[in-house]
Formats: sequence, C-alpha cells, structure tokens
Amino acid sequence: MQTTSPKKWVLLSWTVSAALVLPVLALLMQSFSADTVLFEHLWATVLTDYVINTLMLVALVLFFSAIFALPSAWLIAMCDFRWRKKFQWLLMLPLAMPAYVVAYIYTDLLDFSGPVQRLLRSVFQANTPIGEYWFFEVRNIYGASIMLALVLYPYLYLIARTAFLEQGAHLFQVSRTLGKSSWQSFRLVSLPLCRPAIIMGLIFIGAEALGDFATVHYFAVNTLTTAVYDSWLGHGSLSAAAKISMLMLVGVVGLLAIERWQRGRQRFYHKTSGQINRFKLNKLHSTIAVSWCVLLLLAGFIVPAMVLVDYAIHYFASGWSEQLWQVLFQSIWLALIAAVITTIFAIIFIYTARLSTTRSARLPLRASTTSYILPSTVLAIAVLIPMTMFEVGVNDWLVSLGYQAPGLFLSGTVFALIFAFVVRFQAVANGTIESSFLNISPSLDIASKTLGKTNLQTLFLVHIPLLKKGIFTALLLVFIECMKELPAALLLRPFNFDTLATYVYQFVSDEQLEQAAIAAILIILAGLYPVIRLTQTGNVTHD
Amino acid sequence: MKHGLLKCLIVLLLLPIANAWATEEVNIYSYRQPFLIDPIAAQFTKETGIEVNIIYAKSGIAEKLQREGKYSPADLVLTSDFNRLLELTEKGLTQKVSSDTLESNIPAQYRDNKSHWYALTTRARVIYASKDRVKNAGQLSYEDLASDEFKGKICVRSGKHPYNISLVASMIAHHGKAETKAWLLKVKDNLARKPQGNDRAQVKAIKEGVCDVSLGNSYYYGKMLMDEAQKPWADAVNIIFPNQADRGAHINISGVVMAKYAPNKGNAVKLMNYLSSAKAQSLYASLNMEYPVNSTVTPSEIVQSWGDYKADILPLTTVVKHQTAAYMLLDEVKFDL
Amino acid sequence: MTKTVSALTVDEISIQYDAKKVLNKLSLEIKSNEILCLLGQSGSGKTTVLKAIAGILPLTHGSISLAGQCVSTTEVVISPDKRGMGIIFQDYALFPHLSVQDNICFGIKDKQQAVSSAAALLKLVKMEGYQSAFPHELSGGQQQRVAIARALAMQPKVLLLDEPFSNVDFHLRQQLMTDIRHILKQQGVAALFVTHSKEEAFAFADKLAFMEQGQIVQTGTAETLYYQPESTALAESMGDGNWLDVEVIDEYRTLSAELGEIRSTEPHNLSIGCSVRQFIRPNQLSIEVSDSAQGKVTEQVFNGEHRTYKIVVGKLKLMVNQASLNNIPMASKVLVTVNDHSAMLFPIDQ
Repeated sequence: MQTTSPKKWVLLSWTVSAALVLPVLALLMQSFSADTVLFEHLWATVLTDYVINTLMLVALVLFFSAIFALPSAWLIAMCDFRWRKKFQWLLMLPLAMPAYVVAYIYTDLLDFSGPVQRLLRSVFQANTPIGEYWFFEVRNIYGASIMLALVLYPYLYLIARTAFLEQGAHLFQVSRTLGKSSWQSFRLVSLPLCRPAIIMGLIFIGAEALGDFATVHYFAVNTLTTAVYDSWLGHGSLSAAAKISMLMLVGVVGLLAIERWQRGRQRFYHKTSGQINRFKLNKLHSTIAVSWCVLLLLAGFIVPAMVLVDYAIHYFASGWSEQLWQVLFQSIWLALIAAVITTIFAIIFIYTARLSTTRSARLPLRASTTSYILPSTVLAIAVLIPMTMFEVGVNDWLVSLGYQAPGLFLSGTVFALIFAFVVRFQAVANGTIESSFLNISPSLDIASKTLGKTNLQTLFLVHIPLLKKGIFTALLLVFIECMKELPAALLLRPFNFDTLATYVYQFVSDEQLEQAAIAAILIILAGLYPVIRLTQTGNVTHD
Repeated sequence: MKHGLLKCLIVLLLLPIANAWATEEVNIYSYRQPFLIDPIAAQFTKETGIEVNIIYAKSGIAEKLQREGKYSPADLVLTSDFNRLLELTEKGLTQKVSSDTLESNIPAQYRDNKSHWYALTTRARVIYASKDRVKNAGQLSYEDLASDEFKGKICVRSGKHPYNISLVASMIAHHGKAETKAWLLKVKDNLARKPQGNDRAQVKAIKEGVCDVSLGNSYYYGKMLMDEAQKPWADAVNIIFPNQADRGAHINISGVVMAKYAPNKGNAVKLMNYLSSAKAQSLYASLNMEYPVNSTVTPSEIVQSWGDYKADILPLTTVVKHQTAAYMLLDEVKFDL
Repeated sequence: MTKTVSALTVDEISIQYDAKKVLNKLSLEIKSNEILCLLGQSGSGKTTVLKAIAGILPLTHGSISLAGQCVSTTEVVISPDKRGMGIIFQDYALFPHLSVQDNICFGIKDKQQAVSSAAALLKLVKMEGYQSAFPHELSGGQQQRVAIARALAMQPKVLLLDEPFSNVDFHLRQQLMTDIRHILKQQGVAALFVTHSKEEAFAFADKLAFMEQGQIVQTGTAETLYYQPESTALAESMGDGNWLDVEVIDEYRTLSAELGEIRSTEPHNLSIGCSVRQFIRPNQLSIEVSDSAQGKVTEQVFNGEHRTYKIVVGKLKLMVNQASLNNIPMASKVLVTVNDHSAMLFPIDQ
C-alpha cells in the first residue's frame, strides 16, 4: 500500500540501533584482539570456579525469586484474603531497594556483633565466643542470592500476576472438572501457561544477577564479573575482559535459544473470557497467605528501610549535607531523561517492526536488546570506546580547520551517562512496550491508513493512545533502574557530579553505609512513587 | 528546600558554560576518597582562587584516561597505592613535572627519578593481633602467618585488593615465586574464613573472636580509634609492624601524577606543590592518619604513639615489577575462592 | 430404578454476588440422557446456574444433586474435580500449551488406556488424525469438537455447555450441533446447555427452560415455549409476532377491531368481556389478494421458503409469513385471515 514510508522508519531504526549497538561491537572487536596468555592463565586457574559460581548464583537467584514471586503473584491474582488489595502494591516495594544496600544491612544485622545474634546470646545467656554455637553465615553465595532475589523478585511478581489474571478462569475451571485438584490445576495449567511471562521475568532477573558486582563483591562471591574486573583492572587487559563478557553474552543467548526451541509449536496465549472468581480462603489459609506476604514485605522492604531510618537518625549530624538536594535532583533528572529517550527509541523500533515484517525491519529491535546482560562496568568502557574515538576525530578535524578544540563534549559530560543508561536499559523498555503493542489489532492500522493517515499520524492518533499503559510502565521501570544503576555511573560521571547511587556506594564500599543512610533513603523514596504506580497501571483492566 | 532546588537547577544548567568561563581551574581524577581530598582541595581553592574539579572512581581511571587521549580534561591523578601510580606512568599517560618545591618537600626515595610520579603519604601493611589471644606478638613477621600456630586464626580482605597484591609482590621480590606460592597456600590454609570485607572488618572480626590476627594498613588503626563505634574493635588488638628483626615492614605509598595532556599545567603544578606542602601534609596526617612524606611534618599524635618502625627499603619500583606474578599466584592458589 | 433418579436436580438455589441476588430460589431437573437448554438474555443468570452446578460458586440457599447424590448445599460443596461433570465453554478453553492428544488425555487417570481412549474419542468427534496438532492450529469448530472429546473422556454424568456454538462459524454450526447432539444421545450423557440463541436451543435441546432475572419462567418443549408462552417477554423472545388488542367474547373467541372475530382451537378461562392482548405468530395469519379488502402490502422480504409481508390494516401493522411460491406484489390489497390455532392471550397489565 505504502512502500516508501516504512523505508524511512527502517532507516531511522537502523540508525538509532546502530548507535546503541556500537559499544557492544567495539567490545566484540576488543575480544578478538589476542590476549591468549592471560586467558589461558585464567582458564588454568580460577575460571572454572568462577563459571560454576556464576551459574550457581544465577540459578539460585532465579530459584529464590521464583519462590518469592510466583506464590505471591498467584495468591494476589486468584485468591481473596485479607488486605489482598494492599499487598498487591506493597509487594512491589522491594524493587525500589538497591541490592547492595539490602546486602549491607542484613550482614550488619546478622553477623556476630549484630543485634540478632546479640539477642540470641542474651536469651540463652551464652557468653561464648564465636564458633561455640551455630549460626548461619550470611556472607556466602546463598546469602548473596537471597539478597538479590529479595529486591529482584518484584519483576517476576509483576509480570506473573498480570499473566495469571489474563488467563481468565475457564482453563482452570475446566481442569477442575477434569478431575484435577486445585494444586494440580495450578501446576499443570496455570503455571505452564505463564511460561512466556515467567521466562521474561526470569530473564530480567538473571541479567541483573549476572551483571551485579556490588553485592557479590560485598559477599565475597567470585563470579565471572570478578574475572572481568580482575583481567581488566588487575591485568590491565581489556581484551580478556571483553572476551569473558562476550562468553557471558553467548551463554545467555544460547540459553534463550534453547528455551525457544524447546517451546516448539506450543502456544501459551489463550484469548479468554471467564471472569475470575477469586477463591475465598478459609481462616487458616488466609492466615498463611497473609503471613507469607507480610514476611516477604518485612524481609524485602520494611526491615531494611527501618534500619536505614535508624541509621539516618543516629548519624544525621554527619550524614546530612546540603549537597544531597543537588545529588537527588541530578539523579532524578538523569533517570527521567534516560527513561524518556529509552521509551521513544523502543516505540520507534517496535513500530518499525510492525510496519514492515521483513527481517531487516525487526533487527534493530533485537539488536538494541543485547547490551542488557553486559556487566555494567564493562558496558561503561564499551561506551567510552566509540564515543572517545568520535570525539578525538571531531577535535582533530576542528583543530585542522584552525578552530579551538572543543574537548570531550560527549564523554566528559552527562551525555555519556545518559547514553550508557539508554544502551543498558533499552531491553527493559523494548520488552514492556512490545507486549502492549501486540495487543493492538493490526486491522486498526489498516483502518487508519485507509482513512488517509500516514504512518506517523497513525502512530500518534491510534497506537500511542492505546499504548499509554505500556509506555508508562516502561518509563517507570527504566526510571527505577537508572536511579539504582551504579557501576556505569561511577565511571562515566563528569567532574563534581554524583548520583544518589554513586554517593551511597562510596560509603558502602568503605563499609560505612550509616553515613549515607539519608541518601539511600532518598533513592528508595524516589523509586517509591514509580513502584506504586507500576502496580496500579497493571490493574486498570482487571480490578 | 525550594531555594536549594532552584539553585541546583541553575547550577546544573550552567555547568557546561561555567566550566568554559572558569579559566582558573584544575581537574583531578582521583582514586582517593572524597572525605580526604575535598577538605584539602577546598583549602587550596581558598588560598589560590583556583577551582578544583574532581571525579572520584574506585577503578578504571587509567582506562578512561587512555580512551580520552589528548583531549582529556584531566590535569592530575591521585592514587591510593603505588601499583596504580606506576601503571599510569608505564602506560605513558603521565608527564614529567619539574618543581623545586616538590623536590625539596619530598625525599628522593619517594619520587620518580624521572620526575613523573610523586608520593604524598606512606603507610605500612601491618599485622593486627588480638590483645587477649596472641602473646609475644611483637616479633611477628609476614612469614609467620604461614606457621601452624595460626591455623584457622587469620582474617584478611580479598587477595586481589591492591594493598594485598602489593604485599604479595614484595614477598616475591624477597623470596621468589615458588616460596611465595607455598607461603600463600599456607596462609590460605590458615584463614578463619573466606577473604571478605575491608581492612577494618578484619579487626572487627578479631574483636568478635572469629580470628586472632589480620593484615591491614596502619592508618586504619588510628581511624578506628577516632571513631566512637569502632574504637572497641581497635582496643581489642595490638598494631604490629612486621619483620622488625629483619627487612622491615612492607610499605605502600599514595601519590600523584600529572596527566600527559593536562590542559591546566600551571595550576596543576601549584596544586602538586600544595599537596606536598606542610599544610596539606598535616591534613593528610590528621585526617587519614598516614605518614606524611614531607619530613618537616610529623605524624599525628596517635600515630606517633605507635612508635617508630623499620620499613622495608626495597624500592617500590622493584616490588611493582612482580605485580602481575602476584596476581597470577593468587589465582593459582585460589586465594579468594 | 434408574428411571426414577434424575441426572441432575437443582432445588431452590439462590446465589448472591456481594449484595446482589443473581439467582432466586431456582429449581430445575434433567432426566438421564436429556438435553435441557437454559435460554435467556445476557444477565439473566444462566451462566451463574452453570457455575453453581459445576461447584465453582457457593450457594446461599438450596441444594444441587447429581444422580441422586447431593453435591452442593449451603454448607457442603463437593469440589469440581470430584463431581463427575464435564464443562464446555464458549472460548473452548483448550489448554494452549498442550497438543490435542494431551488435552484429551488431561483428565484420564489410566495413562496406558489414555492413548487408545483419545483415539476413540477423536473418531467420535470426527477429528481423527489431529492428535499432535495444537489448539491454535485448529478452527473454532474443530476446537470445540476437541473440547467435547476431552470432556467425554471423563465419562461425565452431566455435561455443562456454556454458549458452546456462538464462536463457531455459521456454516459449521448446524453440522456441529447435529453431531454433538448425536454423540450425547449415543453416549447417554445428560446435558445442560446455556445459550441466548433460540435457534440453537431449538436445534440442540430436548427441553427448554426460559430464564429471566434469576428465575425460570417456563420449562417445556420448544413447541410449547413457542406457541404457548406464559409471559409476554417469553413470547417475544421466542420469535416474531403481532400484538392485537382484543376483547374476550367467549371461552373460544376474541374480537379484534381490525381482524374481526378470532377463534381459538383450545378454550381459555378469561372472563368474558374483558380487554386482553393477543399474540399471533406470522405463520398463524394468511393473506389473499382481494380488491375489496382493507389490508395493503407495504413491504415484502423474500426468505427462501417463505416470504415475510408487512400489511397495514387501519392503524394495525401486521407481519405475515406465507409460502414464497405465490408472490403477492407490493401495494396489493389483501384480506387477512387468522389460521386455526390455540390463542395466546395475556392480560393488559402484564
């Protein structure tokens, strides 16, 4: 019908995604340059342990996240019990917590001199030194996994709850009439049907766990991220670091391919009706459900938040500074800009893929997603490679024309930070908006075009109004992520510039979170509104 | 608050422009922490009117500098250990600085004979030993940490931390690779727990009875004594300068280099001079309990109370040559795993 | 013995959503091997009845028995998996992640028997060869056939069907209804069938129960409901007709201002002289061309076998169905006569 217009969109998509993919390409190039000696050394010594640790960490984080998220999501979606509506959004709150802050707080609470063990000792009047009684160790791979899962599970919870709601009631009811108990029906029908949603949630969580440095470092768990840091910072070999990063990338892509292959011809989408009659839980079951939610909420949010408030009060004099306002403002401003840009890009990619079903039109959407699982420090360097090359080129050119060199107008400014945020979180926005795009019937596009609207007009008049919810969700998710993002911010921020996360981490890395408690609380407060809105946008159609 | 936000907005919008206007400035990339550098920089600005812009980072500064090339805005790089100081020099990211002030303030062994790097403070890698549980600790050496008497009694931070790498490198310099590897294996075997936390956390662990001895930088002892919450930890241990009977304690330095393409060279030299001056050196001494390199400045009273110690005189430039080997040894013995 | 026990007995059940009463002391009964259709507009509560019978909704009053065994009261609810009933939904509700075979075998306990049972069932619903297909690869009619096979695999005592044909293409619907009806009869399964479409009800059910506002208004055969409705709403929803204001002359006759005397084949017991409304189906009227007559053809529609005429007689507009072979042109003057039938009379205030 209109052959010229999609071409413009494809061109635009390709240009934007090329810019976003540049860092990964630069890294790929780096990984090809030979540094076999170091790589062989790592291979011969610690790499196997790192790989095992990494696999274990990711597997454990996924496991714990599933344990935390899935029963909660199902309870909230399908059952009726006390305070259900409140828990619906309360259970999202841990998302606002940076993982390393939670990790720090729990170590503090649970180690030998922490209040928990002190209390135990005073109760049992044991005046014994350490080792005389058994107490679980927090600082190990299990601890790290639980800490990460505690703040990451809301992703899965959010996605799974929506998926449960969208299944409708009929399939479950049919299963019951076919002789399956509630539990069997959950296991055989509800859960498998959520598979794509669950996988998507797990991918988000897995990527975060894989890229985490602060928490695992604090818990002395050596993962592939450690190897990346070691080879880059210790041995000064970016190429070995790039190689390991690429290995991680290949691993994840491989896992995803296996998942897709294993799905085969199965479909999970059931366009369904069937109003959900939530199970009215009896008193015992209701108490269990409430306790579960309360426990999760306590562990993931209330306890850490209370500790932070306690720190903040005790260390107010040394912890408070006027500078914090500026830091807060900068962080919000930065996260907002990155969220808006990411969302706009996502709409461009997905709309292009919709306009033209050719492979080349879909490529930008997929390609711009790849950087999500790179450890963010590596990403920061990857961002610097093409950016500084470009800047040096421009500088040289201007100098040769007789102008004054403008200096590092990109990498030396917040542009670098925003760019890195966009590159890193493009996947989040893509995923969120793509799923809401799929819900719009293609006949609407055709209707709009036969009514004389161009592609651009159709986008603004038809799609964007219908996508509002998805767009809003993407904005919120990226915003929260950017508020918490640490390693890229540490490396790429310009002179005299702090985000709340870098501010807090400076103290955490020095094991003095107490001094930065106020800033940590500000991160959480800034994330709180988006987190609460997230649950509400998910609700419009269902409650 | 409203006023504050407004101010932030204006500052933020004007930031790039303001940078272009302010001709009198100096730009620092710093591995050292803000609590230490900010007061000194503020004092410098107060005295000279030169603005000091700082980027703090725990890692990656050399890489960033390398990427930025000749258009890098950085004038000076401050490091907290010698490895990084030399890394910058060896990668050709620094330039020669000739200054009579620097030469008179800093003794020859604490500056580059090619005048690229200058040390600003020194510190010893000491052993902290439990007052209650370790008797006759005064004669301890690094080598002793491998002995059976400390089985399950040692705490230490990650072997990969620059401070420990440097110590291992010095062990290699003195004993050779094979012997050092054996030593590392024994020390690892003696660990009470997997390497974790920072130097202070090890002292806390001694206080809690997790272990009896740990490794740490000397200044932490002073800083813990000054911190109300941490004083009990420090009170539970003795600070022991190792190897006093033979080669002396391993020392490390913090220092400064000038970036190769420093755009504000004049101001940068002024700041370097200032950092080596008695005023700044005494700030280093009092704020961070380090040993000043400027011989006219005495360490803080607390530090003096620990008494004099004998330092290993092997040049750090020699030690640092074994840095890569140290890294590899730590991987080979899987020290952190 | 079995003849006395009905397949399903619903006894005075009430159901309340929040404060709203959706069902009000509703009773119905299905004999074994009988197909009962619950007919009603949307919102009349018919799906609620289905859910109550399936054990998905709790009762606030009454009880439900299956084959003589009580399964639901206000206190005790036997869960859906232990009731032995199948359910078929409008959206087919096939498990999208399972193949046709796995869908059918889903509830079969004996896994060794499952495959052969599935094959037999597929043959029964005329879906041989589709074992490994996935639901999204089938048409609506095919999916519904699989859903039937799946439900039958459990050998249910009663099958519940919730608007099962409304998503199926029109041209497939008739065949599907015939086939499924045949299967149900052959398997001896009683069924409760819910729909808002009278055509489906006529074609599929043995007996119809008409629902309005949470209550059953009338139960009977399709013919009874069509020709002897007990309420004006039922009369209208069963099909087109003409309303006449008439006066009762005697127990057989009424008088209409426009059509004159109308005679019923059955007596009624309304008091003589009172004014009532009479309902006459289009096929209970006849027209013939007559130049002296009062009626005039204002519209005609060809419907295949018959034609529908709109006739104006004075102030009255009538709809008449007549065989299509004999065409009466537009604007013809026609005489309207009433065929012999049992009169449908309703008090004016109803």
